[in-house]
Amino acid sequence: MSDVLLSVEDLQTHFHTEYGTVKAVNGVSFEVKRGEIMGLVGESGSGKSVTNLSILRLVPTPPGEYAGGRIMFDGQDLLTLPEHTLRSYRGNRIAMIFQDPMTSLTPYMRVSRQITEVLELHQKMTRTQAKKRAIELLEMVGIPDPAGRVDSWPHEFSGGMRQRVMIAMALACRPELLLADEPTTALDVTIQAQILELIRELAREHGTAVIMVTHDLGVVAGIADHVSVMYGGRIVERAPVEPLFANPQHPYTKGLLASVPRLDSRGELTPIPGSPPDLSDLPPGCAFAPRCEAVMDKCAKQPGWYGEPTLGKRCWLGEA
Amino acid sequence: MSEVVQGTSLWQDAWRRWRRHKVSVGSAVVLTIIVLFCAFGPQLVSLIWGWTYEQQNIALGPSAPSLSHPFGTDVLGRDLMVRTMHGGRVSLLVAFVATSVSLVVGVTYGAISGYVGGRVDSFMMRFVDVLMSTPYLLLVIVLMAVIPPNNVSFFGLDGSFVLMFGALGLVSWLVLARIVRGQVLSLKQKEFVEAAHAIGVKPRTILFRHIVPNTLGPVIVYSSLTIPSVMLSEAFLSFLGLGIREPQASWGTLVNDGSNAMVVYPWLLVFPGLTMALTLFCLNFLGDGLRDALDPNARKS
Repeated sequence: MSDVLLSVEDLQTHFHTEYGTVKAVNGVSFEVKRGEIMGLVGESGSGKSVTNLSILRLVPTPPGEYAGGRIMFDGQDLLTLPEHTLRSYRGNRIAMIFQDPMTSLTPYMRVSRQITEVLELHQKMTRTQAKKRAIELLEMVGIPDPAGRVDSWPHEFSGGMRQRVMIAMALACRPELLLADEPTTALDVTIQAQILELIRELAREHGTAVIMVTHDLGVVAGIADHVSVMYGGRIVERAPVEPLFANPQHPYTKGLLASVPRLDSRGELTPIPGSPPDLSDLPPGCAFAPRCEAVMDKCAKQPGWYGEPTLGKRCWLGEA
Repeated sequence: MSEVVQGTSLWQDAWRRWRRHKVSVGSAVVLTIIVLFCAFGPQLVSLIWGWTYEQQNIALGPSAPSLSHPFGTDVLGRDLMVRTMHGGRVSLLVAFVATSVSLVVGVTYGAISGYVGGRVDSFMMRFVDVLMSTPYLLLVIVLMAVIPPNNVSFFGLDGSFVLMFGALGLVSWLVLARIVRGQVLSLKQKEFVEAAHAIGVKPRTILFRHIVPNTLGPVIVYSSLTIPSVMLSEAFLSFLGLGIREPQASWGTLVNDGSNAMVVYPWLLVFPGLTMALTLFCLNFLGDGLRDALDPNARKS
């Protein structure tokens, strides 16, 4: 169960715009093992969502471009795979949960049809079998009276229910890799807890690997095994969840944790000063340097990776 | 609870909603009556009174509505009711054909253009621009030269019909293609399209299953506007002698003839005009009701 399922190596996803090239993902590397849940955290615009979309090659090209790197999934490079092979993976071996449940379901298709569409595509089920399975799936994600609700229209569902439909669709084919882009942001806390529990169960029982993109550190602490912190299109720190929260190494991670309220200290919240970098005009050195408290002369040069691949940081601090 | 509930289909659902739209249902009833009136009326009249649409009675001349000529007669003494029925066949057929062409060609063309985008889109839309900016009359005259009206027949119809269908069909889909393209351009950016990609749906299926149904509202509204405008262009062409020829008639030509004699023989304008106006009214209300019924997002009262 501990073999590497997904290995992203030096991924570079750029967007060519009229204001210049935006390096949304600028050399990201990480590995995810089967059954492992990796949290991918960072501010808005740090490149975490684009990283996720790149794995399924869903970044529109143009204006996007996969400028470099490899995405090895079960021994194959997803970036060079023919489109039709990749299409047979989407929704089947690799599934995705989108951020906004209000707009991610096709308004002119019944909920049942949207779920059975995935099943008919990848599992070669008949309409009747697929419908039965759709009801099971809705029950699994906690929709009350699934048999009665399965033929509803998306607009008849609340945001939370739609998100659960999205999740049901993502889980329909028991994917090996689940990419979740802020799956619980739109839900209230009780539902959020249920959904997170569901995802964790999936990882444990089916060995599904999960990449959970979020800016909610609470969610990460609750569910992830490993955490990667992204800043300015790069991963700046990577660690198992306990050491990351107990002893963050990168000044950005420290700042991030200090800006979140904690139950065990009554201190003031300290926001990180400044704003995220302009990805079309990144400094040659460390992207965080302009906002960093511990900035040094060396920070004008791009720091390397210090530590293990799964436990380390991209920072000059404390290194020779 | 465990047994699978039989779902109602989109059409059953739409039917149920449509029936609650009383004005729309009423319009459908009136339209059906008009269609039956035009389809079977001429035979009935010739059985009862013996008039046909081309039968002249110069001696009678233009006479006001009476029991034997309920809509009156025109300057050549032809029974106006039969001519209105006959004109209805022509007008409705022209409208139906032109609208069908506009729906099939316009929606498909616009959807592909908008979805593929880029250079293909520019090329396809420039082609539409070229057709749109070519003077319409010129096109029709060229078509006339290509299709000699008296030598062709199409399902038993006279050459002037073929010409009319060709001319109206050629231009009727242009605006719809633009409308659909614009809709698709904005719809393809929506998250549900990305979500459909992410579950491995083929682009063609995404376009026709996930995107095109969303354009239904504007398409139905625009189609219900296409029908009157097609009827009017048909009248215009006929007026210029490029369309339907005497002794054939259409509502357009009848209204046109009637408007010339409006002051002296008002019935020549009133009866064909009222029939045509009633039809167009009903088509608009019907379109309205259909749009509401087919849109699952529409608020249910």
